[in-house]
Amino acid sequence: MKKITLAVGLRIPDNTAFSALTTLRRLGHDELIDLRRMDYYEFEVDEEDTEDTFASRIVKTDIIVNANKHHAHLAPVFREGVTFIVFDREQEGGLLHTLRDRLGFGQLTSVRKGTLWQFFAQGDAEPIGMAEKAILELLYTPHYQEYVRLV
Amino acid sequence: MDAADRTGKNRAADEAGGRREGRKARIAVIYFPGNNCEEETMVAIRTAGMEPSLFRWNEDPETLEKFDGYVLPGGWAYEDRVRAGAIAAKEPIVEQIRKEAAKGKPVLGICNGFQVLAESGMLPGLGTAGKGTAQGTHRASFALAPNRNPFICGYYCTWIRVKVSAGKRNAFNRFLKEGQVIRMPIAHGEGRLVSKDHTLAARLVEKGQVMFRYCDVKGNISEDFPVNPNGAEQNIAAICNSEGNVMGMMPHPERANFMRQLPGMQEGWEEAEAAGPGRPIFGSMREYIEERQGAEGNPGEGP
Repeated sequence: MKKITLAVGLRIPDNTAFSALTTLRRLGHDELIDLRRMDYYEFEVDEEDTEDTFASRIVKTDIIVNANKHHAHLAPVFREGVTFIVFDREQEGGLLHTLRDRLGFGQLTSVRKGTLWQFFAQGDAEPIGMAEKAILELLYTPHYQEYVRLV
Repeated sequence: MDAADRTGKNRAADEAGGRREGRKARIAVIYFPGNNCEEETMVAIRTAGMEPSLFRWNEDPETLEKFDGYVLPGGWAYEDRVRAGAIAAKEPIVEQIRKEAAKGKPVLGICNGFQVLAESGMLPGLGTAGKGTAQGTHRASFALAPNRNPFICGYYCTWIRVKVSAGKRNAFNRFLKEGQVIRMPIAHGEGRLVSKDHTLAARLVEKGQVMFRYCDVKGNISEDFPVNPNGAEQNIAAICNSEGNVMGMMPHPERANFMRQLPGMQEGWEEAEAAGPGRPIFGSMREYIEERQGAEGNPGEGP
């Protein structure tokens, strides 16, 4: 079993990220200078495909990535800012069903989708603490979600 | 002769739409970008004998004080960005509504309005809501999560039945009888009431803060779809705060304000224009306001 991660962001302006940034600043996060958002996928697959083959096939389905407005990053690594991912604890199975049973990804055993938030701060704020505060205040609800920091 | 007398049906509902002499209760219908039920909500308020005004999110929040009550209508405030109601709940206008609610004024959140009230922590008010610090905490003691049913993911629109289950008299149930089954439509993608506190839903039922529960035609509460259309804990469709002046509900009473809005309504014009099952909620709100005005000794005066 192999885990493959994929981050999908918008090429066009991201209104959700902008609304979240504006709201967080109004709540007092003046140190926050930028906030970026991506959809984040964790796929578990049988080891028939290489990562590259799987990624190139899944990108072409146009289900997760629309080349006209998205950019996709396989096994993303973020060297700048602080990155958190928010997941719903219970994932609905529609995407897995579509990919595996309708689009021929028979090697797929699970899909987990989350929202990746990348925080950029200025000044003396402790960046991880600041980002986690923002997550707790706005970007996550404890009632059906969980979050992790991507390191 | 009013519609109730003509049809002999929905008499209580039509009484709920009557009005007394003096100044009409003034209701602010809060409009956030993305709302889409404000017009029909204003019609429902008007037919219940109150005077609605559209109040936009970017108006001076302090001017909300001049209103007697507030309705947060349905729609997609801020496109449901982040989560349904999450961005709107952080707007200054919601803080002002919280202050007005603390004075005892009625606040009704319908569908997206319920989501905003949930995210703001104004509901259910069991000792934790709204008491978070400004930074670093999450105020809401429950959430309205994405729907869960065996067949449909995401947005789901249908007519459902709810059972009136609140025990205590409050601002919204004066013309409803406990155990009564009424029909209203739902239309939402995130309406499943859940909480990390697994005792919360049961406690709300126990304390009489659950106003409506999804039920079948006979009033039976079953967790199974389609009786429970979204997987909400305890089949909860609406709750109020412990004081009874703030209510959030997922069904749309403004879309069941006239009998003609109900499916299968094939009768004549007079019956079609009669009050529908959603109107008593607005009528109750009006009576509650009038009662408060009377108690304050200024029944006909504006501020």
